[in-house]
Amino acid sequence: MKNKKIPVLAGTVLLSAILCSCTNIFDKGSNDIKVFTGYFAVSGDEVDENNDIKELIAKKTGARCDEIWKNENKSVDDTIDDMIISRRYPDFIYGGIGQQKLLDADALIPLNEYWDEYENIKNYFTADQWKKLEDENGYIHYIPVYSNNYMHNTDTEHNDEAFWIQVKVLEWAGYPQINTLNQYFKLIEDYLKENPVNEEGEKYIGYEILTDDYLFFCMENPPQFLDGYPNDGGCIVDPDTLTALDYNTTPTAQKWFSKLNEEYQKGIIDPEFSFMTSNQYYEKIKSGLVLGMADQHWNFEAAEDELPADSQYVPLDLVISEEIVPHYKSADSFDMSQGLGISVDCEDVESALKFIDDLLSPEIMTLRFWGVEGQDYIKDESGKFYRNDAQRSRSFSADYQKEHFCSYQGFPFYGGMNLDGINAYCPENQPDEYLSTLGGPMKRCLEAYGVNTVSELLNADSENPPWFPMWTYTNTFKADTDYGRAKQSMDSVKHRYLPKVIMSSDFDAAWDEYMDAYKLCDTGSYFNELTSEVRRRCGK
Amino acid sequence: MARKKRKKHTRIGFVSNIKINNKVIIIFTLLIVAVSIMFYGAAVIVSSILSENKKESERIISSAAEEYLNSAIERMVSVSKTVYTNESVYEFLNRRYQNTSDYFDRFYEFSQSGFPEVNEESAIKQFVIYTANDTVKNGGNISRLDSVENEEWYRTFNTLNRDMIIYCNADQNNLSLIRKLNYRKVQTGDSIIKLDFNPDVLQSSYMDMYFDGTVYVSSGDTLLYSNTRDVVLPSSDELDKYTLSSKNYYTCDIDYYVYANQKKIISLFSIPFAVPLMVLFVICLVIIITIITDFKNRTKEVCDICTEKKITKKIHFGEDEIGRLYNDVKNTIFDITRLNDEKNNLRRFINEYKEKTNDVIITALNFDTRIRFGLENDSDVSRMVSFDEELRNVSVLLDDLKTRELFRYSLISDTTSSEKKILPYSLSAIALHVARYEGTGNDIEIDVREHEGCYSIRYYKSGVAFSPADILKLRAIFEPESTKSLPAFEAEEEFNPYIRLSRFYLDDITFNINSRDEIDFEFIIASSTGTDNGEKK
Repeated sequence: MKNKKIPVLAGTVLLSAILCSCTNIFDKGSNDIKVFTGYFAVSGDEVDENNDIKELIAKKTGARCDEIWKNENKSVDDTIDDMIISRRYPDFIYGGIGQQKLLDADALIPLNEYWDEYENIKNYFTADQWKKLEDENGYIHYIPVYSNNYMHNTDTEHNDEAFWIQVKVLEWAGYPQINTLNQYFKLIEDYLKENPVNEEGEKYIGYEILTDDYLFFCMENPPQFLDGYPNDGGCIVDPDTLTALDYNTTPTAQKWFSKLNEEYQKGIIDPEFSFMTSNQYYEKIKSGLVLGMADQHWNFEAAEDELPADSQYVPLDLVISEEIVPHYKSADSFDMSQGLGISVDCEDVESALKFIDDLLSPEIMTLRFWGVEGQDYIKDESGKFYRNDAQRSRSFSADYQKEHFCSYQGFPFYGGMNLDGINAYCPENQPDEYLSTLGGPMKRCLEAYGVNTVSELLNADSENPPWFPMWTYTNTFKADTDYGRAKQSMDSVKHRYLPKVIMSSDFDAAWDEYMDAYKLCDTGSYFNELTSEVRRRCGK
Repeated sequence: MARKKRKKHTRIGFVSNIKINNKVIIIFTLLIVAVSIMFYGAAVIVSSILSENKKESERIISSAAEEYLNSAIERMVSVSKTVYTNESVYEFLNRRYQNTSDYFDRFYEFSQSGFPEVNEESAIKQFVIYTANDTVKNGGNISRLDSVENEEWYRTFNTLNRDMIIYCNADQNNLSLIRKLNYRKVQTGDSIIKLDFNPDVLQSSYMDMYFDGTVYVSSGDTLLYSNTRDVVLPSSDELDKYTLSSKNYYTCDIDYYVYANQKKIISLFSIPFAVPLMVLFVICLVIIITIITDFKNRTKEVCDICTEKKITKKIHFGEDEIGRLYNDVKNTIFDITRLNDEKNNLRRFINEYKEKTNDVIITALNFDTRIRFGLENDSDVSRMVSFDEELRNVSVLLDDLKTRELFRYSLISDTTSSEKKILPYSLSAIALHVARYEGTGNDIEIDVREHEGCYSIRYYKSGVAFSPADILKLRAIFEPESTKSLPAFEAEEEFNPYIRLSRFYLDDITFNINSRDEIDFEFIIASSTGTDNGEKK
């Protein structure tokens, strides 16, 4: 027996020595996880490479996506153009305003050719909604991402366009009821009279106007809201005649610009407004010096996040006169102009579709927007989610957000309620959580106006008409059509003349000059096309 | 001259004296050591190569890192030059604007058509012309100098008093190119251009270097770019292990820190055919171990067999040299065993033969004794008697002879033994033979003693001594295992009482001759030779 141990021992030692010398032999790594790339033409939050929830989702779904968000220094058009020219696409593309270019370049695969096994995707929209997304051959190339609420809208914030005013101005004025444009500017004027500068001695800007590039809607489209129309985008629609009308030439438009001219002359409006880039605009918002402006909340939300509580903005749904019912809030519209597609360069379409399908499952949806149970939220006996102070505080940490949360916000998701039907889809929309995150000034403001959320400050939304919104159509216009060229001309004229209308010491002359230039644009073909589309959408 | 041929000798070294078990342990130990040395040597060599590669890759990456920034700065300089030499810029800056509307008109046109193309590949994050012209408005790419008078970069630019500098903004971890616009004289005051590098573009260049290591590009303590997500430089202690190179760009010192991760010896499984090779390696080891173990076990087995000279189990030893050796040993042991058996058989036969021969001789001698002493029964000469009784026989015999043979005798005895251990008429016959040897008239002395169960009988005859031939003869008779066979005794014509005595007592009797000149000899008979019934065993 003794003798037999020697070779066994020697062999064991030898093998051990060999195996010990081979490091990482059994380190398989994460080769089993499928890694996709994605470009999303929207602003997004960068997450860490080893983000906790991204890793968790990868383990559960077998895939992950490395997301590239819109480059603030490069236009979406240029980015999409580069892809098309080089014929190199990431696996997933959210084209944004470049969606049509991608379709024209045949860059996206027809999703409905592959999705038979993916019930979560197929059930994401109704058959009628999917039908609207089909091209002339019946193919669906992308999935609208931000157009689906489960059960009902739970937004606590108003994320769309409105007139905005710093909460401290309302507090200073004793929370007055502000309904009209005149009331709004009078409030600002009054505040500036008493508070021309902040505590550091810097001059307040009463009203700011962003005119840069396509974001010039802040200047040019308020007339549609002031007249009580919803945000159709490139037009207002007469519901009786189903005709697309031009809000740029309405009496309200003239009143609007006249008012801006008046305020500019008074020094209420930033004298540098017409020269600002969007980045300079955001910097001014961040400075806390801007008391009010008209804008989409999603456009300045990131800048607002850096403001102190008393400089946060409250939305107002102004109209030109008291008798008009404001319509700033719209029911969720079905934005079929853009969405997430899978590119022709994707080598594993089935896995890509499975990844989207998995992301829509209840478990992953909760992971994406609430995080990890126990770590990020607690579920009570009734299934209701809530967060303790530590969890809430941690969720506000930028570092923690980067290293832990991953919402895959460029992928389809359900807004509104969580798929459990009990909770909101995200903590920010959960009423209790929302209230706990509000600062003192905002809480006092809501209390003063007798509402629970900022969203409730605006007139309740009504059901959308069948054509709504028309901007999903105008976004597809290109220069190869009369109406496309007309749109470009109209935009160009507005860029060129509207700042001058506002700044001019002779408003009437400037307005007339503007109108003369505007009329030279082929507005007829533009509005005729929109009217046709309105009627097509209404089945006429 | 004929050379004497030396005989070759097989030298036996100390290795031959090491036991085979120890040899096996030594072999396995040496095998482990050899394999370990082999792996260690390979690791050292590979490590050395990797170390050299590390230095080389650090040098290359450092050059590449420099080249990235060189290109970016050259691009910036080129862009600044297009602005610097652009006549429309000077025209724009030279004009004093009546009001904001007037400025907007020119600004709009300038932005739409005359504005320099500077947004190359988005390498520029921000491009601003600063002017002392107080009729322009801040915004877009134009700003007034008075709005930046207190800013650090502007103070630095003025302090250095150069036409162009590269400025490191420590707060934003970014570089800017600042250049005076003095290509044409500007009536409205000084103008400068400031180009902020787009850190993301350069950062992405460094991130895409596919370099297994770390690159830091810094100015002073400010980290500008790296191929990591780090936002601050590591400590100086940490940086000590980095390869450092520095370069000055338009008054700005830039440091390049490069550290290549030491590549590890590649995983065994990343080698092509690694698994089959590993299996082959293990199989080779197992075969070596098996061969050595088998060699050792079989050698020990053969050795044990040789030592024990018997085969206790059935083993198949194969057909190799050890197998053949085993077969030879097996055959030899078989022969030895067979020969031993035959030897034992022969010994048994000889003993039996001797015993029978002895019995015949004794019977003959007993008969002769009976006739000689005139006794009637065989038992009178074959049944054992006590020593006293035999001494009485001697005494009777010598008394009877004394008168006729004219000799004297003395019988000295201290025994009173009644144990029947003495062959009857044995001592008597010797006494008679001694008395009659070579004449008469001698004095015969017989001294008998008993001590611890042995009987000592000494005969002494003064006068005539035994001849040397007689002495040899006597010695031969009493030698144990005498070579004298039955025929030799048969050839004896005379009655020989000594033969009867030695044949009867065999090994239990010894004979001593003390003197050459006189008849002086002694018998010692061991007490164990007889039993009560007088049977000799």
